[in-house]
Amino acid sequence: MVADAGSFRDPSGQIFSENGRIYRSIFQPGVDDYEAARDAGVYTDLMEEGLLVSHEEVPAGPSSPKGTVICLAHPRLPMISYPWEWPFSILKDAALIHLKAMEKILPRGFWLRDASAFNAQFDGSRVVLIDTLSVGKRVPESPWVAYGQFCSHFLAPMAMAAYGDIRMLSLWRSFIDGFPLDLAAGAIPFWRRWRPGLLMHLALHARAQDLADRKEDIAGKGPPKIAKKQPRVSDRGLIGLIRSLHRTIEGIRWKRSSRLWEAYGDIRTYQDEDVTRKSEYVDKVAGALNPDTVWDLGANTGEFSLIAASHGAFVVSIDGDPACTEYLYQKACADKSKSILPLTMDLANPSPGLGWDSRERFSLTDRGPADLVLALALIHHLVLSACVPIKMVAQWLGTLCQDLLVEFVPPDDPMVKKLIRNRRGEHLPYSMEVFQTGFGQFFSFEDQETLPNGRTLFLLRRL
Amino acid sequence: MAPVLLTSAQCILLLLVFATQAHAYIDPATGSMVIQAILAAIAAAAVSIGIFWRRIKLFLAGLFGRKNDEQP
Repeated sequence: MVADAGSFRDPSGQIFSENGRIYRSIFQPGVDDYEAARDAGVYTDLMEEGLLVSHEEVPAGPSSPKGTVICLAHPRLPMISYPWEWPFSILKDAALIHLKAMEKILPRGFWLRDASAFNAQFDGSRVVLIDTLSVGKRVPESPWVAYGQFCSHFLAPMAMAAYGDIRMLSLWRSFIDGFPLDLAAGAIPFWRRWRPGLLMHLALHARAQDLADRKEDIAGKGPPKIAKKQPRVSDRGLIGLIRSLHRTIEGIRWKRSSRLWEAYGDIRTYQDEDVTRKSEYVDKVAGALNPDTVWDLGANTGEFSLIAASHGAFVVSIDGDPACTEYLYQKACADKSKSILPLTMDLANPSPGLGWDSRERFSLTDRGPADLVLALALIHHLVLSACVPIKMVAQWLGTLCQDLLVEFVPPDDPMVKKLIRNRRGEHLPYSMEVFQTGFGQFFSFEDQETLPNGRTLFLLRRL
Repeated sequence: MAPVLLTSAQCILLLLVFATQAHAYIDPATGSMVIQAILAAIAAAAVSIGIFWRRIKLFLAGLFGRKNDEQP
């Protein structure tokens, strides 16, 4: 039994894995809510709508965590991903499924006890809620306890990304419990704050939190007072609030600078024949190895991810450009036959372990290895732009995969020349010989294909 | 609807008079609970006005003998 390092905050349950399967223990504090939701058919409805990850009750085994009253088995997700890696639209979909679930279960006397971005995950075809124990009986007349969390996990980062700068989504790495609302309210242009949804749920909300904090600071000097009364929210009012959030979230759209990826076709140094030969080779390798999981590192718009996915693999497409990952997510959503998760990440600074003890949220390496990694037109960027020696790149890739399809771009390639044009020869060693020596320490060379433009594709296997 | 007549800061201060009780393992945050109570009250009022307005329209439609799909 291995307890999930990220599942400890909610005392009502815990995730653990055993023999590769994922289980959820429900402890005594969570039993009442779980049984009520189960008996009312709430879980079945949410699963049928594709809003909640599926589960089945199984007998608790001797290795289940102490205190387990009910045990659930869940399907294993192909990859855990985090909001600091998500394209804008995954964050938006994660927000929308929370609100759709609320709209569905509120009339039946239930609600979500939390609204955390970490409760949403890509299950291979869509974004679903993964925390079964989020569903609980609504406390009559009570405000929604997760309203503040929803706004700081979804509304604030979405508004900052869409109306400030898309790169602000990377602030998630610092604000792992959600973006401070005052930060978001201050970071979006003044006129945007007057949109009704943002005015109410972001600007006034931030102001209310500020006033409440100040009041509590003053009150905190004496003995704590026992609450006599709390704000009341009627059923009708809460449904209205959720609908208002729904309209607000729907209305936040990131208008990508389309120039970014549409120009890729023009700027790349490939001729049609090179592209065809490269695509055919990727197709051949994916067909021969038949991998379950492929990580496409430096995926750009995901041309080769799509080829790998057409062989039935689950593909994680990683690129540093949020416009590329957004484009690919929307393309992959439209084509349900392929299973692709695009993630935004600077590969010279891949996702670290974060949260409590730096282990609550996994690093990229922790989530591997993949069966096959594609590193096409990537190495020269890492060596010449990010200044990482080839040997270290090879060592790192060796921790991520079993098989590696890597492209070597020769030093006389126009792209390489462009990268080092202002360096006056002062750059890390970069040649075919250095490449083969570096990678030869960690991989065996299985196959290769040289394209007409002089670039070479190598199929490597970890030693 | 009286709070609507006050400024937003006054509304918030008015409701801050009530301290809060949490029903959750996450901190619902006092300010978040107060502002949503205000917003939810406005939303509920808007729904009520909507329903009331529809009834007036139905009444008037009935009064002038027009057929209406929503009538039984």
